[in-house]
Amino acid sequence: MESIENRLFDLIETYSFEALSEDDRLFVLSNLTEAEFRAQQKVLVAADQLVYPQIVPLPLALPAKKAGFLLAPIPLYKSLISAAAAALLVFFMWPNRENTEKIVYVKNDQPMDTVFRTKIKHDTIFREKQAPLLAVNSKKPDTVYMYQESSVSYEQPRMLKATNSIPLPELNEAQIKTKGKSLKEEASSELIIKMDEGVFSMNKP
Amino acid sequence: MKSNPHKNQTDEELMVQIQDHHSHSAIVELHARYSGRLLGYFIKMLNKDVDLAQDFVQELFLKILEKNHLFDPKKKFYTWVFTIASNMCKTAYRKVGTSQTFDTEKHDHLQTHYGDNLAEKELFLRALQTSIDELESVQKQAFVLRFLEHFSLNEIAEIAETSVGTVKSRLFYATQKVAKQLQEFDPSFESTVFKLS
Repeated sequence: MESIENRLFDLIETYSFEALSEDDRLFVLSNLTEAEFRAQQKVLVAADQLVYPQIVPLPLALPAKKAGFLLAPIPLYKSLISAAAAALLVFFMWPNRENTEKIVYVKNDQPMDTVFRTKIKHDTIFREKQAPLLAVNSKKPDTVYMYQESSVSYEQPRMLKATNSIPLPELNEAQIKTKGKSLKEEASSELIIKMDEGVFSMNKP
Repeated sequence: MKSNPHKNQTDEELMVQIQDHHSHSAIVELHARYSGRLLGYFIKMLNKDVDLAQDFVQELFLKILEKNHLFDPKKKFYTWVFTIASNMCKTAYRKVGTSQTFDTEKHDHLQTHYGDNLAEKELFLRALQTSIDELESVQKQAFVLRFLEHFSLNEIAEIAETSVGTVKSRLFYATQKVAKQLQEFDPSFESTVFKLS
């Protein structure tokens, strides 16, 4: 929907107040007075009569063209293309570590019209004579020490660190005192000795 | 005598030559075609400061030469060049501001109907000139382009980079403001407050 200002401007610019239709006139009078409408129209008519100085423009003073190739402006796309080309050139020209050269044998099946025989005459021939090999270290060792390292690994014996869990009675004189007889005092020990001797005497021839 | 090689070329073709070859002869041709009109526009926009207007014309064509890549060959050259000119004026207004103010006291004795005699007409036109100079930059731009440079509403919208509706609105309020300032020249002008909000 056209705004009020736009419609009013169209009417002011196009019609005099007398030439307005009934609807347009009502529309104008609902927003402006007749005098305001006429005053604005006068402004538009008078603006055409304004006089401005007629001046001849000065000739165009252009900057001197930049001399030299290096100072010429380069568009962005050209500089990008140049950079890409330089990168490609470096990529292909970079020395390759891997030897990619291949020897290609080409069999020439076509018959030759002329055969040129080339004979090379050598002025000087250098003959290389191989010198006998000399043994620099010819000493034989006097003593040979042989070492053998044990490959068996001994495990560290396991240490039992468990505490005694069995309660033992305290030692006293009654417990220390011997209750029996020693073997020396025992009469039966002599009997054993005798028996032993008897057995041995029986075996003797 | 040398014949002009650019005579039959359109403005847009000349701009393409400037874009591609940085052609100085093409910019000279465009200057020959538009400098007069642009100078007139600057004089109207810059309150008749002729020296400043001349400088602006020079600066404008140097800008065209430097920023030629911003021109779209599918669009009209003259609306593009007037867009640049209008933006230059806006920048100048921001820096300087509209210094001229209409002195109403000078015209207190002229409470007669406009057009009664030549002296009064002359005074009226001067007052009109001053009122136009005092308009806000966007309103002044629209007013000058429409009623002094006779551009179409669509062209003004393109130059101002806005819609036709906005241009009409600016023109209405600009005219209203000027008419209000000039009401003292018209005794039939009713003392009213405009009904528009």
